[in-house]
This record gives sequence, C-alpha cells and structure tokens, in this order.
Amino acid sequence: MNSSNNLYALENPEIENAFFFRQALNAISNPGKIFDLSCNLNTPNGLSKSAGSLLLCLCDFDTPIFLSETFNTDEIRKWITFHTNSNFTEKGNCKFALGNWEELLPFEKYQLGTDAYPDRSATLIINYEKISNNGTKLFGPGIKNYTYFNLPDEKKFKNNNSLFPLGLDFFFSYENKFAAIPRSTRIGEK
Amino acid sequence: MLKSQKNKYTKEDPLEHDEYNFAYLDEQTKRMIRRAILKAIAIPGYQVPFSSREMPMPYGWGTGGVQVTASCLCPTDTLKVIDQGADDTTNAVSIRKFFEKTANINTTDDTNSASIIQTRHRIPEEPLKEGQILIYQVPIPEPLRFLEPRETETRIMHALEEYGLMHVKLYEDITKHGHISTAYAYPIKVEERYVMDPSPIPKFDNPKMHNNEALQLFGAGREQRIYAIPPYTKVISLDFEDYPFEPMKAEAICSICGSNSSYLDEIIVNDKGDKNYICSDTNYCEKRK
Repeated sequence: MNSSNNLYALENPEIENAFFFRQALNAISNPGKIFDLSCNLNTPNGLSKSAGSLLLCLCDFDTPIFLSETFNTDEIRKWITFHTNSNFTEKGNCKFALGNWEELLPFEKYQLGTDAYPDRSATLIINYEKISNNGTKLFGPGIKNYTYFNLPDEKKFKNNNSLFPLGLDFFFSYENKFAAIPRSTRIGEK
Repeated sequence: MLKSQKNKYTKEDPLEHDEYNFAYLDEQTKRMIRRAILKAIAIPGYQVPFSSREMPMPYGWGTGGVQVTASCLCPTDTLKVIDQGADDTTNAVSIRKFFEKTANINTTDDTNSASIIQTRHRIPEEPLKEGQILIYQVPIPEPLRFLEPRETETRIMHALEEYGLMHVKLYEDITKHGHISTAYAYPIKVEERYVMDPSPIPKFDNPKMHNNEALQLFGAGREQRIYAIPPYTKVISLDFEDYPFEPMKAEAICSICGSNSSYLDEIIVNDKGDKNYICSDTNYCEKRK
C-alpha cells in the first residue's frame, strides 16, 4: 500500500499531528461522518494512512496497543514502536486496538471503563473496507437529526451503546478514509 | 491591528518563535490531553481527569482552557479569546498574544471568522456554527463540590446518577428567596445523564449550550479535568415544574448599540451611583454600532 523505506513518517510531526488530531476530533464529534485524510504519511504495508495517523497523534508509552493477527507483523510493530514507543499487549489491557472486524471481537474482552471512571476504556480502530453512509440509522450527540452508517454488526453496537456511560469507542479506517462511532451514538430507529 | 501584532511577535523575530514547540506544549503532553478530549466527547458531560501541566501563567488565568486550546490548534486556525465577553481585557489579550507567539497563528475579534474561541465566563451572542470550537476556562469543574467537598463521594454520586442534592440546593434557593437565585454556573444535565457545571457563565447563556452547532470543550487546569459537549447535544438547565428555569438579564438596553437582547454589564458612571448598561460581548456590540 505504502512504501515503508522512508525512515521518517512525518516531516514536521508537531504540525502534522495537530492536523491528524483535528480530523480525529472532528470525526468523534460528528459520529458517522466520513473524513478524508490526504497527506504524505509513510505507513508500512497493511497499515492504512488513516489508522497510522490516529496512532501517531494519540499513542505513546502510556497506551498499550493490541494488534490483531493480520496487523501483528514485524513491519507494523517496528513502525509503531519507532514512532510512538507504545507497548503491545492483549485485548484486556490495551488502550487502543487495531485490526480487522472479526479479529477484534468480542467486545467483552476489552476494558469498558468503570462506573466511577468510564473514560478508562479502550478505543478500537477497525480496518473496514465498507465505510459508507448507507445502512444503519444513527442518532445522538454530534449528529444533527440523524445519519446513516454501514455498521458491520448493528446489534453489537446497540449493545455497546446500552452500556453508556461505559463502553468502547470506535474509529473505522480504510486507506485515506475514516469515521468514528463513540459509545454515545444511538443505533437504529428512534 | 492584530495582524501587525502577530508580525511583531513572530515573523520578524523568528528566534522568539523557534524557542517553543508549536503551541507551547510538548508533544507527549498534547497526546495525553488529546486522548482525554476524545474520551470527554464520547461521554458528554463526564469530567475526564488529565495530568495538567504548569503553564507560564497563574492558576485562575485559564491554564485549563489554554492547554485544551494548545492541543487542538492547527496552524490554519484563527483564534479568538474573550474574557467575560470582551476581546480587549487583560486575560483575553495575553492569551491571544501567547498563542500568536508560540503557535504563529492568526487571531481575530470577529466571532464569525474564528475557528477556535477560548472563553472565560461567556458564550458569544452571535450564534456559533458547525466546525467552530468553543473552549471554556473552568475554575471548579465539579457541580457538586460546594455541596459535597470529597472527590471520592462526588465521583460515586456521578456514577450512581445521584443528583438529588443538587435539586435540594435549588429548592433551598426557592425557600429562602422565593425563586432560584443561582445566577451563574447554573447546573445543567447533558444528554439526560451527567449533571455538569457550565463554568461561571451567566444563566442567560445556558440555553445557548443546548443543540449548539459548535463543539464545546471545557478545561480546568488546577482541578485537572477536561469535559465536553459535542455539537447537537441535549442540554437542559435543572429546574422544577412549578419553578421553571428562566434565563435572566438586566432590564435595560445597551447604551452603545441599543441592543435589548444581549447580555449587559452594569457600569457605574459617577460617584452618585448612576449607572449605564453596555453589551458584555464587545464584538457583537461593535458590529451593531
């Protein structure tokens, strides 16, 4: 997908990460809305630009990462270690998880937060080819009236929302595209 | 006017700018704050703890707001800073200069053309629009703090959604004064879950928080909390059926622009106690003149 020969992922990390984060901020405050990330980011084979940008602007030695089987390659691990200094861990300990949909299941394995600290929960970055604004109807904070998103499994996201204020937050990423579904998003008919 | 200030502090003196990382904070701190902001948006109204840094200004001067702004800023942003609605008071001017110097960004007084607005104790009169970010400076983020001083207890109260005490407080207002006398930092409930302190904005501004098109972020530096209200979010001010919430302002019109709908400051004009009223939002007033 991308060349990984270039040592540096970014030319001006403090500037580019600011733009990456702003996109992530826009995505999570506008659930379901699809954002396009056009930038010069060298990511290793198999890692999309959009997922790479999220890891760069959010991850460091404080955020253990879980990589699903497909993503747990030498190349991706080295890239993440070099650029973020994050550790790798299992589903149950991670702050961020990266993988294909089936490999990331089940949701119950991740930290969902506690009643007193619901923020202590994992964020899942799902590599998802079918990002589109068709499919399931979404409501809730950040959404004007309603929107649609092609969720991989409506029921699982409905269940995640029912745990609110606990629960997982999701980014969907594919190549340049990404979108977010935080736990606050209500799924299906009103 | 501001453009020339910017040149004075950055472009013509590159050394001053190069001494700082973009927007002052180091990258690791920004990542930590960025993660807290994302969780805050995912759980509207919940106060996310974060490890607040020492800033080159004292607590109470907006260190929380400044850290949130620094973590959100992009070089393409246009920043507006207001203090009680005014663009030209000490706090607003110095924070604006701080970011002109450390982030080399454009600043403005114009609510409409700002992409990020950092505010102390007001929401601008002009309606905000999608894509704008309003960042509040917060002194005491915990709405229950003066009712229950222990953090361990208020945390449990939020977890259990146990907000009876807040209604008792408002009820006591009524028994003492005949009406709810809380005039600022009036408690709100976000998405029917968390009771939240809107920061010390006048309760006149509370209705503007509901369904606002802009993203609203709150930073409390000394208290080390970040919280958020995403765009299009349900925000209600707590009240009773027989004592409904009423936004309040001085019964007067602005003596500069004549507005009868904007929030007014009372100005004592002589030693006989005569007074004038003027808009608290200076940019709004300026545009109407």
